[in-house]
Amino acid sequence: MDVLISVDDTDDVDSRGTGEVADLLADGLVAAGLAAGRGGVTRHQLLIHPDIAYTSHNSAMCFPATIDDDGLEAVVAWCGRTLAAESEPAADPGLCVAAPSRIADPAVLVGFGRAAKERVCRKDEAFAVAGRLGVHLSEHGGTGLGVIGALAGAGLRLSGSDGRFRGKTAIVADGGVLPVGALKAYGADGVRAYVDGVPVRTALDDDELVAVGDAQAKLVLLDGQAVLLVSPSQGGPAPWELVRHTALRAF
Amino acid sequence: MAGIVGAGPDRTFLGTLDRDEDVVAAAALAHACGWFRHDDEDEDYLAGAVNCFGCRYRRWTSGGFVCLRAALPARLPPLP
Repeated sequence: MDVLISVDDTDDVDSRGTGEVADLLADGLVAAGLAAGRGGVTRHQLLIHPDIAYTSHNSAMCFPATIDDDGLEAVVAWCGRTLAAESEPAADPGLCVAAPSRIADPAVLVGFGRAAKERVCRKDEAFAVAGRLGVHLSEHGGTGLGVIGALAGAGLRLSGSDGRFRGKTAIVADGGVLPVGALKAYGADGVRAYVDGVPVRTALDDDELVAVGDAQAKLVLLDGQAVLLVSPSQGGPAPWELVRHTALRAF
Repeated sequence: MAGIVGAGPDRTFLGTLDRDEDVVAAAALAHACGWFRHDDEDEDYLAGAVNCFGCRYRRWTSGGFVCLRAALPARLPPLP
């Protein structure tokens, strides 16, 4: 069975980030034999608002894992213990574990995730949605307000089109140019072209050339795929170039 | 015009990553600041550049960010 595991508000301003904690959970589940496999961690930006008690970014982290059909309880217990132990004392961590195949109305979970990007959501609202859907949601310290972001992170990951993958890889290219097919070797399911945040090509052909310079591959989640973004080249050595890192903030 | 307004725990930078002049202004501030520390890779939009926009002590706001360093406990080194 596939599950989505999402965490938020595990950190303090001077500590390791929530993304690192999410990676630790993902690796730990596999090492403990509780998950047969794990997927990449995605970061999901939530609303920036003065009424929200975020640390510095207000982003949630989520990853998929494959577990035994009867293993949900053990996974929840292990994640809860580990999250409490690995979070900062001043943090307000929240944990969400959702099994999409067991959710009768996934659109409700996706809707909560999208709402958390647009308005201030309350903790009781998050628990009500989780209870209605049969999704695990729990607090692990402090005010527990991280449950809002944790539930939203699961919803946004489930949407298939939000956030970007944690980590990036240095691209090696003689002459600073690679064909799309070679770029996919850096973990991308596809390469898409965007201009000012608007898609202009949803799938580039494998033989199209991209100027990569000394850039690093950073993948975003679109239509359920890990996608590398390019934009029309501004006089570079190829028709396309990797999008600037600053543009990734929109994802 | 981008830049820091306010003082002490209310050091606020009004500006955006989308404007080159704001990024340049934030870079100048970071280079002059003894508190700068790179944030996690997940939060880096400037390819590792020394810039307040990439500092772990900035807290995003709707109009820019607040520098949190002045409000942190004394366990961290003081501003040179």
